[in-house]
Amino acid sequence: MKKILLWFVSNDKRFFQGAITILERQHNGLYIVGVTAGVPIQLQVNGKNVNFIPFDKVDRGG
Amino acid sequence: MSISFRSTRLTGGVDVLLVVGAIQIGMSNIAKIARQLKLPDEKLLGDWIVCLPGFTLDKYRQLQRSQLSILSMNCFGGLISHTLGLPFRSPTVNMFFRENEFLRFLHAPRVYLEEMPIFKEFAWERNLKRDYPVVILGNIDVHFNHYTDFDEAVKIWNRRKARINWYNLFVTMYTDSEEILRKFDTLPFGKKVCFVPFKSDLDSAWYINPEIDKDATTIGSHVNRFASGVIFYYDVFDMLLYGKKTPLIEM
Repeated sequence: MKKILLWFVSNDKRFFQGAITILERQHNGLYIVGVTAGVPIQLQVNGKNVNFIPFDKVDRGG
Repeated sequence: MSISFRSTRLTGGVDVLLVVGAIQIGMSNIAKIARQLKLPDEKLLGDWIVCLPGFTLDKYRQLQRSQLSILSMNCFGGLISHTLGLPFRSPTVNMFFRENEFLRFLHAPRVYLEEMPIFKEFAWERNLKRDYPVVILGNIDVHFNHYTDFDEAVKIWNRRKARINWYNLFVTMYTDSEEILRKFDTLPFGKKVCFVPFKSDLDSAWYINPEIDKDATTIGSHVNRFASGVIFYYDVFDMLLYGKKTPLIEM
């Protein structure tokens, strides 16, 4: 299972659901730790809210 | 399979920073922003890249780490780098060579790249409807058809040629000519691809059936539309990583 953070850089969500589905299939599940963006956003994936994380709270530890 | 969520503040590392909407901005710009924000740019992944045929995270990371340089006869290298969110590690971007001159270039690329570019003339770019500089490099012409200014073209050419990774080259061209294909096939490169609109037994011949994409009129436009991600004839990851021919369309 891969641990991923979403970073929204524009409103273009054409590839978003496809990318999530492909990564989930290829890695037997996904662990979405949150979503970050320049402005606060509300996001749901599979009907569940994704935690918003401001840039300055994103862990840089790698 | 499942998708899990974390409801608390992020404290651990992530495997992937999935950039949503990245195609609007381009991965080179995204990488610059990531560095400014101190986000881990080695973990960036554009969402559209995941949706490309043949994508796996392992192959894509391998391609990124390989620091591939593409020597191409025309825009192919720049277009496919853009499609895959890879940096340009080659000067053969936004320009083109004539077929025979590209073959000459490929016989001694290091020698030609040492040559001082000399302005020859302006030529007409019919698609962009403007003049562009043609430059002499030794005994070959280089057509900088996406530039209007000689100095700017040369400045960018010199900057990009310094980035070439000579240890991982992918060399590509296209032709209608079997004779040109035969000459290309003899070149001593590990990964070499010549797109052709006819079938051939030569290893470096990559057939594109001109009947498939009705919106393309020449082999050059078929190739550019492939590189731009309009239509995928072959798995681009296998092609660039291994030079391996994995057709995605029955031709």
